[in-house]
Amino acid sequence: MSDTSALLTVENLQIEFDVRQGVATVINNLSFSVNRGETLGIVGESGCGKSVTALAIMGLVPSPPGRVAAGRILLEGENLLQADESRLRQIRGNEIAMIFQEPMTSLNPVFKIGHQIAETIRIHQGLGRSAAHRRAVDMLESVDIPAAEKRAGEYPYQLSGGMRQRVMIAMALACNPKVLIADEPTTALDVTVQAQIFDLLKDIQQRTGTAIIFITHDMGSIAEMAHRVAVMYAGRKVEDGSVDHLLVNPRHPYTRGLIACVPHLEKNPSVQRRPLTEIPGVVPSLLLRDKGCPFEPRCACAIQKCKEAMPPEYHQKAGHTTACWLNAPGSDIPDSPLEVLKESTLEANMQTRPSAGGGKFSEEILLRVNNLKIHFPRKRTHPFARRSAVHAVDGVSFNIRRGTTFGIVGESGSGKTTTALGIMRLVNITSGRVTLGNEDITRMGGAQLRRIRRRMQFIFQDPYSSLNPHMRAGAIVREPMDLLDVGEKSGRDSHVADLFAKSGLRPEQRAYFPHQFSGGQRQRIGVARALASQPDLLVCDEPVSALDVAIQSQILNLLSDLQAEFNLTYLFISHDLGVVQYLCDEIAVMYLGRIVEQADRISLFKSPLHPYTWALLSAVPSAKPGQSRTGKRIHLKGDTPSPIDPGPGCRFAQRCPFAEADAKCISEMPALREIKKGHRVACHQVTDDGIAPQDELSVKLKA
Amino acid sequence: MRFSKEKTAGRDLDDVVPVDHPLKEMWRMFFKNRAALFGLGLLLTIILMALLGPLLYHIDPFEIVWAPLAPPGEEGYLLGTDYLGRDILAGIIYGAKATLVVGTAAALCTVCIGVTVGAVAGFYGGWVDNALMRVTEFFQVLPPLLFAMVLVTLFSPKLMIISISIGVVSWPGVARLTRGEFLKIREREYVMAARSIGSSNLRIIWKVILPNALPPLIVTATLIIGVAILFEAGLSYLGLSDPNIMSWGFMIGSSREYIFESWWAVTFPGVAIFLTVLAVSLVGDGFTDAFNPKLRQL
Amino acid sequence: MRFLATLFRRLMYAFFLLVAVLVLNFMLIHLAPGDPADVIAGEMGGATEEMLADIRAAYGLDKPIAEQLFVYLGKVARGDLGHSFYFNQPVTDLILERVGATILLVITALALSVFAGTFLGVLASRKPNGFFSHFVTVFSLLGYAAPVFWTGMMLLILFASWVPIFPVSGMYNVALNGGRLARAFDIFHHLMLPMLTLAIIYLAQYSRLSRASMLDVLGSDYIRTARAKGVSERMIIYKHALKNAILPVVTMAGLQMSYLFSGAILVETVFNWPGLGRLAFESILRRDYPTILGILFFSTFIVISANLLTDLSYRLIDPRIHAGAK
Ligand SMILES: Nc1ncnc2c1ncn2[C@@H]1O[C@H](COP(=O)(O)OP(=O)(O)O)[C@@H](O)[C@H]1O
Ligand code: SF4
Ligand code: SF4
Ligand SMILES: [Mg+2]
Repeated sequence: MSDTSALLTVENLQIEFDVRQGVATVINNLSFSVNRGETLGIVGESGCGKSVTALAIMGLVPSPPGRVAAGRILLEGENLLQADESRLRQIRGNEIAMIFQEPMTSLNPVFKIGHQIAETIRIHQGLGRSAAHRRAVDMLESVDIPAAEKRAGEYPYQLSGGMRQRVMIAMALACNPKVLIADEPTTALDVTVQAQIFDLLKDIQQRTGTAIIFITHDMGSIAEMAHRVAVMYAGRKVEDGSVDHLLVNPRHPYTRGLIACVPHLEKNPSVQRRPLTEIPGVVPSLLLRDKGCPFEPRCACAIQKCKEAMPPEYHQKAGHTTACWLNAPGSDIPDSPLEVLKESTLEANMQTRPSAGGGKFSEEILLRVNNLKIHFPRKRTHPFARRSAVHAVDGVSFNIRRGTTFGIVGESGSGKTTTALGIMRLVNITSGRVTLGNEDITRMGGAQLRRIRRRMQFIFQDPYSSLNPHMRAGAIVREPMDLLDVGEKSGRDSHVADLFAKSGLRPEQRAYFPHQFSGGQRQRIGVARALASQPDLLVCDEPVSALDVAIQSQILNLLSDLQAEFNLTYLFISHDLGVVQYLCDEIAVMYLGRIVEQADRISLFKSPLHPYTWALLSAVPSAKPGQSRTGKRIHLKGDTPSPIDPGPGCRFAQRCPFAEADAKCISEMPALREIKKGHRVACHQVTDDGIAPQDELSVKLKA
Repeated sequence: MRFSKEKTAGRDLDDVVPVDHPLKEMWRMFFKNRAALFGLGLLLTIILMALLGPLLYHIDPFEIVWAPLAPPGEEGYLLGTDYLGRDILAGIIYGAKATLVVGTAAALCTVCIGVTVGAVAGFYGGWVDNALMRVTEFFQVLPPLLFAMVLVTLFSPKLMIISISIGVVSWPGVARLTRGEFLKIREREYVMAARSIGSSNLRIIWKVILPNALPPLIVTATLIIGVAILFEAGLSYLGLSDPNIMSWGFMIGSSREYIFESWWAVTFPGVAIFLTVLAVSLVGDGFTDAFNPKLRQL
Repeated sequence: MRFLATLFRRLMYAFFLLVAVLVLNFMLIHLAPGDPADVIAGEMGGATEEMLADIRAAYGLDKPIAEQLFVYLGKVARGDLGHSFYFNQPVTDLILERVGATILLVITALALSVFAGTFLGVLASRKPNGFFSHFVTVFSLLGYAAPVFWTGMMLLILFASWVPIFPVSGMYNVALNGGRLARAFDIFHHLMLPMLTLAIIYLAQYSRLSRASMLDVLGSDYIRTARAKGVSERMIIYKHALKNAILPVVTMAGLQMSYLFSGAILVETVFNWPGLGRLAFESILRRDYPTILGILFFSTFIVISANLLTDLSYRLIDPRIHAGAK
């Protein structure tokens, strides 16, 4: 498929890594190409070889242990795999540039950012010191960094994550590269900042015609950013085609799974929730080179042939290719594997799984949080400095009814985790009251607190650090029973086995240590541990954020099952609006330590009142191509400001597009008012009959 | 490049069998390391020499047995005699005891003080940490050998006093390391998890943080033995050793004026010290390699 | 402004540390078995009644303990560290006479070990499994295991007796008649062996540390960024990586000042180098406590000053510390 007109072509690439157990083929027979002015999206779970591919194009595959075993990488006809190191250095940063996932660690901490950008320019364009510096400042301006001249003299630690990623982009674009590789450029950033970065990249592409290779695990980002998309699985390309065509008619079971397993944000969520499609299992070890389709162990539609032979690449219409036996022309298998998928997983699951929290809610209130404040005093830099504090949580109130799921959503630093830890009594509460059932637990201690701990348990975000590596899985799950004295001693072991089964683990796995489990399985252990004391309330802090999308759906389904089975009450924290919309009955939006809006899931997404909620919702990329590209996006200025000693006005005033319209916004903190039944909002400019500032704007615009 | 995540993702659990405790696995790694095994063998030999040597070799190291300054081999004195005519080989055999006893006792003392201070500071943080770290820094600016010399002279040179003195002057490094580990591990979610199921502080320190901080602590404890041996040698070289117990440093120190007349009197005890510390360091390095998960990945 | 505040705080802190050392000295005299006056006289009970009476009066030993401490601190504030009965000289004078020699020895050894050590470490990190890398590992192991006084003696036997290219002991040739340059060279000639001896252990440690630190830094994200920019391998090593990798070395150098000083005691006795270390050894032999404690105080003072300097130079390299950020 050598495409002579393409700017960059990768042909039959094969990359191997030496690992302890042998040789792993991490990239296998991979081909794709990208044209001028085009964005190619590469999507797949982690471990599928996306980053290695990017590094291979840069000539930066770490070697040893890695090596490019076969293939060609052609940039305008020149084979980069045969170029020598000095030629590659000319290309890197000049003709092909790259930005990375982790803006926090990708800039050198001991050099000023202006210097780091200027360095690229000096290497490739031979400009002098001051000319390069001027150009660097221009670049900073072109990526919308305010006060660029001043910022150029700052060090990376003085910039926020979003700013650093802009600096990375400025650095990558400094020499007008022909190809820009962006490896998960926004994964570490908040959704409103992600929206800014996306707009910036699109704008740059329009101005310069740079080709972009955009790597992500998120179909929504693909729909928003890419023109064409290649889906990778286990080091192979399983499907590729234009975004408009492929996302609407995905043909490979893996692509379909990837799209279906993510709860996508919808404007009009349905009342009834359907279980998510699961892709069972994990990406296989790349050591085992079976002859069949690599996806076969996880594929719901697999047939006998899949085990025996590798499917070839089939060409569909409109440049769409897939590698799946079911797509063979003239095959007597149904043309659309979606039908098979539905039958085998969706329908079956729907029958056995009652919808989470659906139907009538109980009126009994299990948890009351009343004006909760949690402040962390800061260390003073010198003895005469003013005492200051981080107002991590600053007056938060809500109630959770038994058997329901209460969601808290917000960007990083908004105080979600701290709220949860305060409720769990794992950090000191500065003031306010927390009541579980009818017991005030705010100041409880000793045996009383231990008794209460039985009734509320925590599920942590990071499955890699939330399990003690020195304890066997069984002991981890048993420990709370022993410490909190739950049930008879003799029955505990069988109870552990029971919990393992309920959480989707095999009881024999009790003897394993955490490092022997995959991320999703570890999170299941975390769930089993939380259930061990038979709690009423489970506080889940971003329980799926560290997991791959396919694994996320497994855990989300598990949580809904368990809720139905044990009538559990969840406090569910997430930054992912789609997940919150999918799982929660009632949702509070937090910003800088305060709840700015709270409503049931239908009204919140249908008619968001607070400008922040509105901006947040508009920032989420939609998986349906074309939708968000035509839809209107609200730009928020800058990043979330610091929660250190905030001023008297609305916390959102610095970024709110309507703040100028009302002097009260910067002088007075808006209270949380009930506008409609169960719909509360904290904004001066939302009228009592529920007209939000953004509504008026749209009215005005229309007029 | 980070491949760790990819690798865990690629792990196929169904073929994995239950393994031993992670520490046990590290032992297994240790026993695959040839340099470390050599060090261990050397160390065991020296320990055997200290235990069995005096039973097999009956010459009193303090006794004048032959003409002074006799070169190695003369009259059957394999390593020669010193300026008083004392047998060097006897000194080396009998001196091993002081070295090993003081080395271990002092290391124990160092680790006990250091780990306690570091653990309390790292676990509690805040003003406790602040106060303890100030104390640690105070001990860190005192030149350790000089301070130990003062302590030993003031309180008489007995093995016990020497060991404690070495411990008192060398714990700050261990305290800083322990504190660092505790601060790091304290932030891990499994500590929060332990709290959320009602574990007491003591249980968290002992059962949760300490086992996870153990690998670097074991490495340091091993290396500290080497440092303590060097310390003891330095003190006894300066004449601050128990006058009734032969020690290698003392042998070197007492022949200080005669190095050009009898190189053997200073060389061989020095080689003994050198080999002992080398053995201990090799073992320590073996632990480092076994505990370093980065190396274990490949 | 921030910087001045930090400097001020560090200075205050250094001052308190020094006072603490004095309190420790005071406590040591009183904790030691026997009469404090006897301890101060340093004669192991053999001092005359008259002498003891003098000492009691001078140190106010008949007054309450708090007042005694006050008297002691007051004396030190006036630069009086007591009187050495063995040398029959004020301790301050004794120390000032010799401190220069020790500082010369310690500073040159430190400079050599830091620079050469870092250089070796950087070279070794370029091929982590190469011959040179293994050499650095082995060398650091050996350098670390050899007792410093023994290394000194071995060098003496080798280079002063068997191949006599360096002088046996002392700091200068008393008989030498010559100009400034000749005398400076003479001192340098005498300095070589003791300095090398002292430097070897630390050279070993710094090369190992900087090798590890370089390897760590070379695996970091920002080095990958630099590679992706097309920076040459040389610049990556000597500019991007080294400036970060040097940070732990600087920290270590600060922390090790007191150890370097300890090493100097041993080295000075081997080579009869007329510095504080040798003085300490002599006064320990004579149980001359005022001198020993004076040296303890003075060397701590030097260590604290050196720490202050490393702290400030660290701030110059690492911008994050500069602003008090982490
Ligand atoms: N122990 C602490 N000391 C000081 N600040 C803290 C502490 N814990 C959290 N914070 C701060 O509180 C704010 C809210 O944090 P967090 O609750 O973790 O937010 P989220 O969960 O929404 O990401 C952040 O600015 C964070 O830096
Ligand atoms: S080839 Fe078979 S196993 Fe592979 S994706 Fe298609 S149906 Fe599934
Ligand atoms: S109160 Fe003012 S600043 Fe705050 S959200 Fe409403 S309009 Fe914006
Ligand atoms: Mg959080």
